[in-house]
Amino acid sequence: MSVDLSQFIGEFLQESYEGLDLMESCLLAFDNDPEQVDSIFRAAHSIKGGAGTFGFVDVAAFTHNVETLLDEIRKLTIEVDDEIINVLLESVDILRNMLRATEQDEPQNTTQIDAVSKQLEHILALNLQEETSNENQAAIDHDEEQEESLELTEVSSLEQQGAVIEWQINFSPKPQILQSGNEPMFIFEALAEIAPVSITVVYDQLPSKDQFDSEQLYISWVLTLNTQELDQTTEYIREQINEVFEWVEDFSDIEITPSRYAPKNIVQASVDLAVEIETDTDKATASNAAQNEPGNENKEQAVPQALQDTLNDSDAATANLVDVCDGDPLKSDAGKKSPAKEADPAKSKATKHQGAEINSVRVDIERLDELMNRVGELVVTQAMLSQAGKEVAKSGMHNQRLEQGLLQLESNTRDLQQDVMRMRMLPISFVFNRYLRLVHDISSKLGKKVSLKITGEQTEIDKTVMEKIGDPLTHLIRNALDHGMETSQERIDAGKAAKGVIALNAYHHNGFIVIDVIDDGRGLNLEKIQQKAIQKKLIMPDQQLSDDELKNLIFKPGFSTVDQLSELSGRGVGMDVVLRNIESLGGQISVDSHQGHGTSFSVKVPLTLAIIEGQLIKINEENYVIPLVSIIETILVKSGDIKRLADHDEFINYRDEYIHLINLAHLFSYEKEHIDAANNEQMELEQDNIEEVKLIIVVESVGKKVGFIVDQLAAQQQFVVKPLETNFKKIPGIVGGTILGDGSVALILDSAGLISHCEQLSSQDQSDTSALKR
Amino acid sequence: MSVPQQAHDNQGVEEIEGKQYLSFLLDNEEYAIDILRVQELRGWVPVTRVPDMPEYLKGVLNLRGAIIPVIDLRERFSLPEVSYSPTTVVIVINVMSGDTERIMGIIVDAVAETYVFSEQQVQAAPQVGGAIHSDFITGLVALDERMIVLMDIDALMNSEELSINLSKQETEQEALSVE
Repeated sequence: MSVDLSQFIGEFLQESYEGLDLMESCLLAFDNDPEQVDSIFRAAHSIKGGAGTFGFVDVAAFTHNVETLLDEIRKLTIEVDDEIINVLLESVDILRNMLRATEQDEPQNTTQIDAVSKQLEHILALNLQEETSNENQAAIDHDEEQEESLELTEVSSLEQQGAVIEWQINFSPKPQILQSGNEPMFIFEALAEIAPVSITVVYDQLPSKDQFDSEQLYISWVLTLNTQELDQTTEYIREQINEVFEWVEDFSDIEITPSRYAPKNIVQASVDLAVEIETDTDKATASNAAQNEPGNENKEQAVPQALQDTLNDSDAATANLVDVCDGDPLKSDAGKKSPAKEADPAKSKATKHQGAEINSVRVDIERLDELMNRVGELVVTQAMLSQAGKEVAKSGMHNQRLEQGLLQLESNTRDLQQDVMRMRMLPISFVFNRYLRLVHDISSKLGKKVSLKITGEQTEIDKTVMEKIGDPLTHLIRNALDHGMETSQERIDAGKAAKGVIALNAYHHNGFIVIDVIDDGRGLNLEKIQQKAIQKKLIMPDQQLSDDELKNLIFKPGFSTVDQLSELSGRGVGMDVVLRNIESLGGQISVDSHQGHGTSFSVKVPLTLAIIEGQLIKINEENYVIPLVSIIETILVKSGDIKRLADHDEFINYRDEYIHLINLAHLFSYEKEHIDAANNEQMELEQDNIEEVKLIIVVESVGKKVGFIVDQLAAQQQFVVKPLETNFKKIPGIVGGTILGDGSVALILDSAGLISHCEQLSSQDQSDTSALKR
Repeated sequence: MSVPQQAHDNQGVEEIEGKQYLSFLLDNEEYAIDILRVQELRGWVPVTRVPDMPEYLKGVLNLRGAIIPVIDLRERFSLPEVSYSPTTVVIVINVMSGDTERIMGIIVDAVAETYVFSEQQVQAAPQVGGAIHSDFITGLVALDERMIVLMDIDALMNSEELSINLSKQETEQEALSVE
């Protein structure tokens, strides 16, 4: 019977990438907190373990080096400085590349790997020298023996189950081994990481009290390692064991003999064990993020009890896991944290005991999309039914059961929809965390001192939105680093702290996610913007612009104030691309800035792309939806208050600001006769001085406000967005379609698209005034 | 083993030695399309108009949750307009544009018959004449006194006017140039 491990490779890679992300974010935020070191160590450790299991020898070997260094850091024998952080960050990159290469069956970039390996070894070698010179070995000697007996009892339960290969290691160090700076305890710890280990102390060589030299070692050990038999790992384990003893080879006699003694039916349990460990690591990753919330402290404390219960559980695989954990105190830490994610520790315990200890399921995002679509259909059907129900009720036929059923259907459908949406939600920290590295790298490249302050990283956002928000945010942060931030000297001269701060803040607001990118740099130089805009012919030299209008010029295509092009930004394609990307998400961006005090960008995006909050309107008896995100307010305006310019341009005074009016009926070129008739009527009305009231929806895009003239307002509700391009094509000014309760289709308007569409139209109209009515 | 099975299957169907076509009427002419492309037939219901589209594109409708465009073939071929009647039918067809399959509706006067035409029966399309451009015709079939035009729906629905096959950017330019 052989177990096909390949089915777990995908999972392993996925979790390793997550582990690497975690390592990276911990490294970037590193402040010598033991918790952080533990997290990093754990992540590295599970990658090593997994890589070993799947036979990715390169990855395991490299991770081993990283782990050794981390272990030293953990034991405080190495002091962490910038150099070490950088080497570790590089190692994270290398590992990521190695895993990717493994995944895609590409050759490894060995020169890079070797270079970083050398650096790691160099740091370790330096450390070893120091250690030799100032270590007091004598004290360790006694502790050691105590700990060994402890380990002996802990491991015994595993022996009962038996493992497939037993490695017997006779380890007899020479008495002077301690003088070489070697510490047998570390060897045992390293072995315990490979597999559960049981240790027997041989102390028949102990001298009498008066002959006892505290700097000599008189004992030897017999170590028994139990490993699973998996063909690809046997050789690997031997290598690993050899590696552990590599340092002490010269100072001791070592005999390693593997023997096979247990039946193979244990293999399945071993695989369960492997899966279990991986799951725990995953949860540790998640709970690590959760730890940042102060409210979680109580849960953390409550958890060890649950763990204790788990420990006592007789379930074979669980006991197995616990044993492995005990071999390595850090791992048991991971186990302790794992249930922290669950609100109720007792409940988490229960789940843990039932069915194969898997508390989460990975689902392909496509399947969730399908589910989401299906639920979308259900919402439409439900709306249709409830409308039909109302019609029945109107006709005087009251059927209580029908009405109740419909109400229930409505609430169930809504709950289902929300549940499905929540399934696709992920905390935005997935995106935010990568900026720590970005800021670290770019600021050091630019020689600026900048720290990134993240708040609200637990705010949840739909996965598809999250994927698309990453690039625009990267642009904003790069811009802030490159243009916004001054050098330390400039900052000190300006009376600011030498270290600049970029704040990244996410929060929910009115059904949208708002992400603020705020820097405390030099702010936008409006004068320079104006000059540049004139120079680039974006505005006329004599054009009078408000401060807001000037600030928004940075979103114009081809605008860039930086005199020299840099590698990072400044190609003049930045902000307009950001704007376009965010608008394509149905979102908005606004900018605020005070010269000398910094700039803040506020990005507002919907929680999901599948459903939109919208206002249903009627134009010429047809239904359209305007997304709520862009609507400021709806006002009634007497037609007498509408100012006309150049025959067809209409304006109103809206809160002391003249805004352009767009008659959507005109824009959508409804029947000419109808429009002409309406116009004539309107003219007559005006002539008669009878004031007609018009309904105007004021919308905003990039600081530009426009009024849409519409005929009628209807419901404000959620609409399931269906892209038109599935069966048709993309139409400018239209986001997509949606299906209304009566089964008919309404088009969802794209305010930003319509505004820019109109701008293009009106510039064409200047030469041809009749074109508007086409 | 599979041979008798097949024979059995074909008992109810006449022996097919060609392709099956569905024919429809348009201004008293009979046209036919590959029946495998026909998804369903629907009676005419008002559709949702899409702004800035050519007149023959009547709008979009909801086909069990999918939003599909509907094209009036009479207007597409500049035939005289008639008001829609109870026999006016929307034929829902599958159109291949590149590798993707799209669903669209075409409005015709009425659905006529189904035929089986062998390759020998199909004559080459004339290069000139007729309401429909020869690009959209795969061939002609003479049946009794009548002439049936075989229509190439992929070519028609992917033609420039509908521009569904163009990339997003191109469509944007296209839309602007309409203005």
